[in-house]
Amino acid sequence: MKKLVRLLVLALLTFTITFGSFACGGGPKPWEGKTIIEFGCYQGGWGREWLDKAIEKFQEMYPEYYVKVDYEKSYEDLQSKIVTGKQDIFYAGINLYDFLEQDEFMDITDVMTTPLNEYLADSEIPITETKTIESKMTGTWQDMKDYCLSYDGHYYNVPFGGGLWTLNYNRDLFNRKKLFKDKDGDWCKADGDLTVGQDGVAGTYDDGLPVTYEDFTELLEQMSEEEGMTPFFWSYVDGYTKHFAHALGVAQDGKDVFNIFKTMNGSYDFDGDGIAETAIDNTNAWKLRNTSGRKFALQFCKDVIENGYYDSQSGKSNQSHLTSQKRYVQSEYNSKRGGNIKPIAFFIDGGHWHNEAEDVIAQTSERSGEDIQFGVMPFPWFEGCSAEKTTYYISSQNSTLCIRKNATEPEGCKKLLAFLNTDEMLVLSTKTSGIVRFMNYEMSETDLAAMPYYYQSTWEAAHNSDICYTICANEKIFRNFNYFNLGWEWDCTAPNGLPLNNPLENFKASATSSVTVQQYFNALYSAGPSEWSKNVK
Amino acid sequence: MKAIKEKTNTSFAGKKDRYIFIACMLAVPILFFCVFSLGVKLNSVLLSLKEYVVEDKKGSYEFLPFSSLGKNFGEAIGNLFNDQEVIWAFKNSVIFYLVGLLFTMPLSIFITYIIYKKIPGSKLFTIMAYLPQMLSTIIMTLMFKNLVEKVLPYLLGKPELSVFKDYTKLGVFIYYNSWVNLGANVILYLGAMTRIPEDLIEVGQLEGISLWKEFRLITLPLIFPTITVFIVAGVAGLFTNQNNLYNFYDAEAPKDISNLGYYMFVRVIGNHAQLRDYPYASAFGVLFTMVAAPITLLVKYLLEKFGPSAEF
Repeated sequence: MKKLVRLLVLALLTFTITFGSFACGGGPKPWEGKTIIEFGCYQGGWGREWLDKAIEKFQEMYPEYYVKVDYEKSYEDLQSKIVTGKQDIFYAGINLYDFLEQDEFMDITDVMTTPLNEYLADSEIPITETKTIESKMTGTWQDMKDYCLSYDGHYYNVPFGGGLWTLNYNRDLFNRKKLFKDKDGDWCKADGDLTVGQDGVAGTYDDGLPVTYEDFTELLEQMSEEEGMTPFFWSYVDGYTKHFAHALGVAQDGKDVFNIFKTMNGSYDFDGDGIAETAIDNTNAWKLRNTSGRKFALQFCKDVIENGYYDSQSGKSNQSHLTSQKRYVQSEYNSKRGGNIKPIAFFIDGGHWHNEAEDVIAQTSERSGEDIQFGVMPFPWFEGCSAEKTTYYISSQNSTLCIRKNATEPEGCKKLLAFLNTDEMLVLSTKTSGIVRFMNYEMSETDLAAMPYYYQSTWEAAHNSDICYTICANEKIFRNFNYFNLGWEWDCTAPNGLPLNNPLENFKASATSSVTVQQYFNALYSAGPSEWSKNVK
Repeated sequence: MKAIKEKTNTSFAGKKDRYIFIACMLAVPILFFCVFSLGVKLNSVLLSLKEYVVEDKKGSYEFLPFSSLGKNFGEAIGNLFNDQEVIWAFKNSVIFYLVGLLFTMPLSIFITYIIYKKIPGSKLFTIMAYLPQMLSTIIMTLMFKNLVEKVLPYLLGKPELSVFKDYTKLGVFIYYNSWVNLGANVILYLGAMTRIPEDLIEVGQLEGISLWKEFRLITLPLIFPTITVFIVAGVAGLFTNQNNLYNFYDAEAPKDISNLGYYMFVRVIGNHAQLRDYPYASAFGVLFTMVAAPITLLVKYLLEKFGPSAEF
């Protein structure tokens, strides 16, 4: 009897194992006979298509490798995988120095400084690009490069890319409602004889769009009073509205003032303090929270709220980044169908939003039978602003590519890293998801024409304007990046003792709506020294 | 003699097998306990006496010099009185504890008694109390967020109100936490109530005792040990409970509804976390353990000494 039971159990086990194998797909696995490269990728706003396409191409060039990607939607989980996971190469938004000081990353100086055609000389499909990755990080991206080298003069990461914090607008809606300005000062469609915009050049992305705050106010009045539109809408995500207001200030102050902050070296003439120029160093750079551009940013936010230039669902907790994108994209369509919503002109979000909303845009366009193209426009200048050129503040600044120090397949990882930074791949990522990679590269007319207008305008804006970002070789900044990326911007306390940290939301909330622009501005100054000593080490 | 020897050997062999079996079964949980509980706590205590030092470009946690061993504790105590963020967190922790003690607990006992006595409406209370326990916390959070954000502004006549950012946020959070905690309380109180011998209740009923008297004189004293557990656990969690804030706000909760559990949590995880803050967060935790532990033991002692006691 016992024997029979044993036999039965044995037979059952054999059956289970055999059946299990078949169920899992007994055929050859795509990685069989190949060297596996484990990739950890943050799947945020930029999505995964750019990497999927790049990997497909890489595997054609190096058939001996198979790249397995672990797409991770949580920053925290991906960061812990850098330390404990099996992945060897990463795309993530990280505080680089936290990992360098823990000796987590591989020195990739050779990848950065060897011409790409030499580094990838053994690929099946030859690479003709003779540039090095390092050579692409000059001009606008020099600070990124300096930051990379600031640790010990070697490269451990490749800065990735981001978008622009600015005004995202529905271009086709503007067109249908005739919200562009022609040279005679009349409202017209996008094909009219448009004004030249902030850049002063005809035929560019900002033609017919407001230059000054006066122009912008006129536009807001026109769209809300004459055209029955709602100017602004934003999601629940606080970071977006905070960065938006910050970017608005940066756009007014311009790159020179921003550089005083970055270097913590220089002087600034604060309004109304009776001192011609205040010398700025790393003990008092907190004073730069009180530039005139930032005061204008506060005024802008106050005006939006006080004039009711926002959708009633703005900032509500049921408006996640995805839900709000849908609401924005479908606003015109739903308003025509009798929904309780007006067409919304501007959406406050990071530059990645268009990539995230791609499906919703396509579906809405199909349903409505109308084109829905979006674009970016410069922030309007207020009277007396010190910016000499259109200025944008960059998003996703700490996104980076890096390799674990003790990678299982170091050579494969390095080749993949080099490949991801070839011009072809830089163009691909811009074409696919609109990312502006933090390097110098060209997009052909054909490539540009194949992209949605939003990506085109972002590309044009990023390459014909002053670009500002916080990341740089200043130790005070990179060691306290988390603070400078969020808290620095607006954290202070209102006269009634309540916390302030986000102008749009604070002016909107009933408990702090009575705070005036001047009070907010003063609160930033009062909180400056304590915030600085608490957060900047 | 031989038979006795064999029997002894067999019994020893049997015992040996049993010991090996027990050792094998206990080894893993004990190891887990040592590493993930004792080890972590010990490391936290040690970390509170260290600082993050970068030397030769490498960062590590080094013990503070003996003369400034209490630096992290000093900073934590100082912030408790001077840092507005910590003051808000402390105030809210106390508010949440008091609401739990003075409102949620009596309500839980009341609802449990309704369910226990099968008073009309008890099914509704059962569903209301158990619902949050049946669904995952994140699903509950999402449902609650969506529902409240849509309904409350209209009830208050302010459609543009952002419930979780405006003046309503603290009240809504208190309500949410009371509700989600209700189910767990009801389960445990119901367990305690159903253990009350039927005879006692029947005697009371024969004596013509009212429902209120039955509750006051029989039920309450007999479930008091369970109440003691809740009160003691509440004191112990006063400084560590983050009251689901992270589920709602990630690491970006408005500072004026933060609490101490959340304050410490976001120092080690999320956008604001920095390696150099770990010793400070550890010191905060150790400091509050030093405060909470004696209070917890004292409360336990007082409740056991002066509270009603009954054995059944």
